[in-house]
Amino acid sequence: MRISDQQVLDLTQYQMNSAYDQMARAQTVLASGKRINSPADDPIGATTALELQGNLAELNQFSSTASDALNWMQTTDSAYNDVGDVLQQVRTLAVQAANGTLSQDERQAMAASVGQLLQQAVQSANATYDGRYVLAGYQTGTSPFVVANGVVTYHGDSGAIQQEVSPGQMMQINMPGNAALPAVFSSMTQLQRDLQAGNTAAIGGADLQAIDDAHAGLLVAQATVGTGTNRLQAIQQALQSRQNTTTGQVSQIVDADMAQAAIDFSSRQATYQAALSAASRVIQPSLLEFLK
Amino acid sequence: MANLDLGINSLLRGLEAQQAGMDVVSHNIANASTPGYSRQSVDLQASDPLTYATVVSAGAGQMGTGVTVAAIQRSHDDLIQQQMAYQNQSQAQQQMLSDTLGQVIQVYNEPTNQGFSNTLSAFFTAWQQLSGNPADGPTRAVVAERGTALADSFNTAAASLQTIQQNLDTHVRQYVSQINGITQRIAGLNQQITSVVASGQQANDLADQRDTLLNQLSQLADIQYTITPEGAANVALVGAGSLVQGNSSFNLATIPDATQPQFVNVVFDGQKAPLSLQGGQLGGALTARDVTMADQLSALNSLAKDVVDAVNHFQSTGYGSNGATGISFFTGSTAATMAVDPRISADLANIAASAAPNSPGDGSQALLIAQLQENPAPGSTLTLQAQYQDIIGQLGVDAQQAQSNVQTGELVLQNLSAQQSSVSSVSLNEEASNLMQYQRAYEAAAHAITIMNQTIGDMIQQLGG
Repeated sequence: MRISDQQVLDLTQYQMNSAYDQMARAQTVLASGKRINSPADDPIGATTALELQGNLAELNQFSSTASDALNWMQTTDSAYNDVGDVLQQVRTLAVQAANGTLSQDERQAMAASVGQLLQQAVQSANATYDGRYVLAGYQTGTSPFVVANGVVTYHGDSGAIQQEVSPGQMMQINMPGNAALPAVFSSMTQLQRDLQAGNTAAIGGADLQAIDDAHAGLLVAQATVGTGTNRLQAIQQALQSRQNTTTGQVSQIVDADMAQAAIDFSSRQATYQAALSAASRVIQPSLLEFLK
Repeated sequence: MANLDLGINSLLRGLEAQQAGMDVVSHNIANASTPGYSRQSVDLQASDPLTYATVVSAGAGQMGTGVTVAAIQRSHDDLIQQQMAYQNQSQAQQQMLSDTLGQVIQVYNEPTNQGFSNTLSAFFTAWQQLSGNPADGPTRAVVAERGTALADSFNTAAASLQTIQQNLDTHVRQYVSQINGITQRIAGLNQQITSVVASGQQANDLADQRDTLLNQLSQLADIQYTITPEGAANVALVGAGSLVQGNSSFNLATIPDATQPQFVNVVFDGQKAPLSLQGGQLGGALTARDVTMADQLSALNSLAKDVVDAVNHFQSTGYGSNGATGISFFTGSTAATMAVDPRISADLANIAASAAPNSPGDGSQALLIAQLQENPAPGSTLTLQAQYQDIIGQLGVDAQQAQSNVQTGELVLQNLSAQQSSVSSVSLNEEASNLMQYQRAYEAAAHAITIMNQTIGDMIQQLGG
């Protein structure tokens, strides 16, 4: 084949350009630390990475939702616990009053104590998390239990707050107070009235029974909340582990193997330098130089 | 004395022929780096002989009279030139497609943490937060702000895609005026070349100029051309009609499209029927504008509409913390027009997080919107994220394909150009050795003339002496 000067120049230029292009690509990978810098680098990898990054953002959000829900449920749990503790104290008073050896004055004093305990129970039942009343159903902005003349009324509703705590997993995070607590408060109110009236037979009979029944109801509510809390803790751990896995997967798809990238870059750089050096030698004096 | 005359005349012809050879070598060396230049060579030929008759012999034969320049020719392979024209138009078209897709990729800026996908995730995350704390003012503000950010992203992406499309349209106008300039010059060269050819000469340098123009034209549009025996190049725009016929050229023009008046169609000047063009930068720009970018915009618009419809579907049936219902979250139905409903921005309580009125703790409606992250919107089979991933995935596949076509095409062009250089380009070594050859022959002829001169001189002296 006849070789013209132009041909050699063209070829040299083409080779230098493509060596430079490859070096620049290797340099982008090395500098960004990413194997995929454009969807065109690896369309399937890029879409998978997008999907995984979307999942990861979602998991992060679920994780924060779950931790918020857990705080909410723990607040609920301790509200029911506190009410339960108060109810136990009331029951102790009721047992004392039932044996009939107390004077009416002593019973009046005891009635006052029950009234205070009732206030305390209502205060516990009006527990808030982040400014929201946890036992009020959907009416989270309204104080759910109000005492007037020793009688407690409920101002919330039975709204079940559902939250998605993990992809596709819905969970009721609240336990509206109207299920278990009215019985608790009314048993206290009734005891207070019977103490004031000196109705010892009722105290030892129906009142004590009402307190025990209310306590049983309270235990059911507490158990439900406790089970939910445990489930939520398990979900949180699962979320954490999925977050770790997904982060690893994204990194595996998108991130460059730095050792490999460094080797690639060095080898492309060497190729480019070789092309440059070849170019400097190929553009040499022609025969014309020697015709002196 | 006839003999001496003959000798001097032969030598003189020799001097002239070697001089012509050296002139052509000089021309070649001078044009060694001229684009499109084809090296020229001198065809030397023995000049017409004389029938020789002397006193010694009547039938001695013919006596040579020296040398003559039969032709100065250029080294050129028209087949390679035609192949290059074809490859040029296909390469220019692929390059246009690849460049356009590269610009679209920059619009979406994926996969990064600043891309569109992230804005979409952030929007749904805000709804998820709201579902957990539906009565909270700051959380509502975040939802509205992320909604605005999402609408902005759509607006910006749409505007960027439209800018790319509009730039392609500007290119179309520029290419048309470049094509007209080139075809006019080709017609002018046709006229010059045919008159040179008619006088029996070779129009080497003019033909090179015309080949360069044909080469440029083939990058602009898909052309086919034939060279007539008279030396004219007749050029046709494939699938459209004649651009150059002999000494006449036919101009292209642009007229506004009937349905999209912001874009132009390419027509023959004075006509109305839009030409359907594929190859070259012109065909590439038209295809990129009318197919590639139109598809990209329609995919983005369809995604925007689905986002608007899906969010509004749940938002308008839910209840705000003020009890309001039936208020949409987004307005607009395309990527360019999408915006957060002004009623939402004016009163954040209008954001419908609850499924029933007067339920400040109920975030179930917000949750339905948050779940659009993982569930398909009503009436759809794909999630919004999946639709977006499809756009990016398809874009990546197309761009990768176009890049690889461009690289392959470059290699083919490089090979063709090497073949053409091999035939046509100047080799300085070759010219140097030709120069030596002509120079030595010139020197020899000059020396012979000196000897001849001396011989005649001696003879005259002796006759006279």
